Amino acid sequence: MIHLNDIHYRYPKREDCALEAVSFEVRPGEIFCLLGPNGAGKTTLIRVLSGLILPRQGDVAVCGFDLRRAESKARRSLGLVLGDERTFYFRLSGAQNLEFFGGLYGLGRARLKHRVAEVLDLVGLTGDSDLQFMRFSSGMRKRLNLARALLHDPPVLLLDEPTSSVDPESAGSIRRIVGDLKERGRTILLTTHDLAEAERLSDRVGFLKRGRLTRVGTVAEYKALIRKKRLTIRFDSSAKITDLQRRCLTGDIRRATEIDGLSFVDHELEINYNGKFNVNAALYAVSRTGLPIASTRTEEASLEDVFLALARED
Amino acid sequence: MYKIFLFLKRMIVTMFSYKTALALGVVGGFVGLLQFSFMGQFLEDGNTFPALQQYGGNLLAYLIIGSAFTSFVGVSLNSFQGTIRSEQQMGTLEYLLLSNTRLELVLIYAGLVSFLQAVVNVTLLLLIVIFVFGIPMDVNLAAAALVIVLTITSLSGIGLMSAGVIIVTKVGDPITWAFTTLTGLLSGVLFPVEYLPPWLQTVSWMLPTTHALHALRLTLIQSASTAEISQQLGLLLIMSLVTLPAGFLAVRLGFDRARKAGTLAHY
Repeated sequence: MIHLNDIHYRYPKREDCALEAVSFEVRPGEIFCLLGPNGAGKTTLIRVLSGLILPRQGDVAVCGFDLRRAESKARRSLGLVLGDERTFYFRLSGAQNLEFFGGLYGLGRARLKHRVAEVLDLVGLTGDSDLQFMRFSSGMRKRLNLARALLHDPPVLLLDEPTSSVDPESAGSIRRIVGDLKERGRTILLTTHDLAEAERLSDRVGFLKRGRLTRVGTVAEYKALIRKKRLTIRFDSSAKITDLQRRCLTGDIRRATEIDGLSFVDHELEINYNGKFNVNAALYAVSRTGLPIASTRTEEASLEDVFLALARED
Repeated sequence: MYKIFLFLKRMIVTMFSYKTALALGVVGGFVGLLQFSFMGQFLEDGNTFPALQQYGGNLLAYLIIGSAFTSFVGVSLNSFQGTIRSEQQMGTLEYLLLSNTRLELVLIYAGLVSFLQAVVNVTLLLLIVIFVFGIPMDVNLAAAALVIVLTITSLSGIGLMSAGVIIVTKVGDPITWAFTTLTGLLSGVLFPVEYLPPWLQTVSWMLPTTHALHALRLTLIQSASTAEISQQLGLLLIMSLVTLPAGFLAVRLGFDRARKAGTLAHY
């Protein structure tokens, strides 16, 4: 549905490339998530895909339409949500804004009225549709932005940080809508800094770093990249743990086995480790303190661990 | 037509949402008109203006038409770049461009709404001048409308060029600045061009706005026919045919340059 081939882009007066040899494709009906540190080129890539930035080299095709040769057909196949929430007319109501943009998308008067009501319902803003946009909360603005992207019923959605700067409830509601849209067969390219969101929503993830797409794969494939795990030992909250005990225990564990990192905050000891870790040696060191253990938990590496590892990688 | 209606609706809803500004605008307009009226009476008191005889000799009519003409010039030159600037500031420009309505059409629709606004304002002004202040005017409506349309189209080409520049430079457009300044000074807005030094008169008659304003005054005061102002109409038509394509080309070039630079939404 989305096909990028060898995209190069450099902002004027900048030495480094914003995008360098980026190639990948997004398959029909999948949610493809772009991850990467700030300045990695995610938003630039979204703008290239929507034709708002012209790359110096490379081809972009959406639904089989080349963005250079069949620009208007390619654009008609796209719905875009950019990160900035200030993209509506403040004095117009939510419904009037949608009517205006829908009209420019070429929807006729009769269909537009029906479609505006439909998308407002989909994003849960029917009751607030007559409110002036300036009175909308951040969460409502994000949802209205999503509604606008859906007005002309495009098969492909480009969502640039759709849940940034909104409260958890609104973010959850937007995620549910995105999940529903996938169920309805939409192809979605999403950028986010919320790794849990990426893990929950995406079929595949692309990692962008300094303008280069360094890796593409499923979340499971990413996690397999690092054999990192985490052992969390929680001591009974009634136990008094002295500073000396903390220092002794952490020192003993470091001497007993190979670990990646360790933290001991309040009653929780967290040990990050890889394949060479000796669980028994660590547990033996813990048992020698005599502190009562409330629970132990072993976790696989999270997407966040992978993100941090990939971001540090040269 | 529906898209034009949407632009019009957006303008009306926005305008009426600023109620104080709207009321102040109406009052301000009327006060300005009174000012012109008193100034006209004061200057005409015992004076005659030989240079105005070709326009009926009435100073107030002369000034009011000059002022109305300036508003058309302002709209033609500024509405396109103004649209781009305000859409950039609103953060809506990129979404307008993503729609399947071309940028040129977005500018034309927004421009049409501004022109309509100017036409309504000027019509009200002239009606007040004729029926409230009793200024004698013999109007050839069709010929005057033709002059206004051709003035707007010919200057819109320059306005579009200026929009093409603004997409790239964001602020500071030398084209509009030069044209607005020259029109105010040399086109006979507030005084007849005959009062300029001879060499400036030559420059003045090289400006299309001087011809357009001359023709507009003749049609509104002397009921001049299209045949009588055919020379001015021809000139404005030629200018429209030259500047409009150049204006659209400038917008396209500016747009593509901003897309290459990634600065479309910057302001």
